[in-house]
Amino acid sequence: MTTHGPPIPLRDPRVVDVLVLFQATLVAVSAVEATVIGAATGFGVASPAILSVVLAVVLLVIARRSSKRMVRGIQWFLLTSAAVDLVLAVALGRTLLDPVALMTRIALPVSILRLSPKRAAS
Amino acid sequence: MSYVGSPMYEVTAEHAAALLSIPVVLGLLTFARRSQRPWATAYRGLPAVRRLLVSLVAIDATMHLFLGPTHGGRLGLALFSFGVVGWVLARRLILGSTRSAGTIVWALSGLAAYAVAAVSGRTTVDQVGTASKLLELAALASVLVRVQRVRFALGSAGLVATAVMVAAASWAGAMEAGGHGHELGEVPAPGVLLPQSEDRDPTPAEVAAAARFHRTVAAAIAPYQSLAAAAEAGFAVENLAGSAWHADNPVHKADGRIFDPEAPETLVYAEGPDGPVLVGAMFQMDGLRNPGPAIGGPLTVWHAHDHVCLSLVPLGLAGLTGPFGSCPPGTITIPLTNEMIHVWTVPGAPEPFGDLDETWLEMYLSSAAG
Repeated sequence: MTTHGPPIPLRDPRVVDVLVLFQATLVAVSAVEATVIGAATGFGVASPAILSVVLAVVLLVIARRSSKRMVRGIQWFLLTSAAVDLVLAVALGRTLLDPVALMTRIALPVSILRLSPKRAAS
Repeated sequence: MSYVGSPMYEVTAEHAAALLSIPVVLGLLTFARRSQRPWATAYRGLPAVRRLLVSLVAIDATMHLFLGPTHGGRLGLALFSFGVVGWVLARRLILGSTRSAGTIVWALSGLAAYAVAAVSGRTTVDQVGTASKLLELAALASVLVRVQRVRFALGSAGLVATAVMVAAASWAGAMEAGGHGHELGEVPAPGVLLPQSEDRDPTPAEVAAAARFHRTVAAAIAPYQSLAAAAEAGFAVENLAGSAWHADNPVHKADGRIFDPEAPETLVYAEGPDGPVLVGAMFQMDGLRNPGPAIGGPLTVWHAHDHVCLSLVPLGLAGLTGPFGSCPPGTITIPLTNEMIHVWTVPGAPEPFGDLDETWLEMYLSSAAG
């Protein structure tokens, strides 16, 4: 027997914490990759490595402290960057972003934005 | 013009079946919202983080159930078994009869096995494999929140280290699977696009044309061993560094001349013990998807690049899109470049066109020193 049950809410600060921690991990990997490339090129282009490290640390701190003051701003920054890449992919590559990129760069920040409170408590 | 790229950015045929897991699990979750079965009721009563964890494990386990039959053999059995264990874990997570350790062991074993399989070439690094590992990393993240401070710090460090290990293994596997040259029929390395075509032997006319072109280029660019001469001709030879420094000539790039041996768009230098050494030239096509003139047939295969990370401040190459789908923050991703071809004029180069073997180049530079 089945009934129409209510939707199961995921809007829980701890879910946001999980997603932010996961995102921090991915940014940390980007930081390592950017640092390796930077080292190989004599750090002629060091800004991506520096920005990645800073962003990864900030996200890790946010994930721990439940302070969501910056969460939404960072998500919008990452989404804007993904949107630029999506436009480039469509315009130049005649394709969308790869499935994994759609998952990590679009679905993940959108989920965090949807699940995190618009007005931060702290 | 259609290209073949690295499987790391694609869904390979052997992994495509795993995509079926998405509608299967979404259907199950929809069912769980309505059903009165004990497991569904228990699922609805779980805390949100636990429900998220169950969903992650269920999707990943189902992916492995689909991957088992398509791989076959011992690897297929291992994948299928991992999926079965994942479903047992999901059931125990719903019924509350397991703690975090079960998830950690399950996810870490999946991640470690994947890293080994990728590096050893037993599995193709592609979008499906990477997506599966992301689910396992997210599952690990879900057991770390709201734990005691020291445990969180240690756990986060472990999570990042694990993710770096998986990414490194993915890079290694994708690079190893990719061809070391730019030849037709090869599986390209990440970031390289080759024309979609079968390899074949060159005709005598193509061999002669390629040799003639190579000789002409070698003679034309020989004076640019002098950096002063190269600078005077408009090549950007300031701050040369590394083993493959590309010195562009903006005038040649905009002059509309295609594959002109007298006017290469770029010179390539390698940093030797006694200063920069001119190792060759690179020619570029104008515009995207314009195939270069393959005067030597399969000897002169042009290539393009994809998934290039470009830093805007300062302007420069910042790598390639990683296995997890991202360029570093603050960069943009160039999805496709124009076609290009390298001509190697350094004496004794193993291949006159295409890719230059780095080991050979290092040996050449060290032997030429002094």
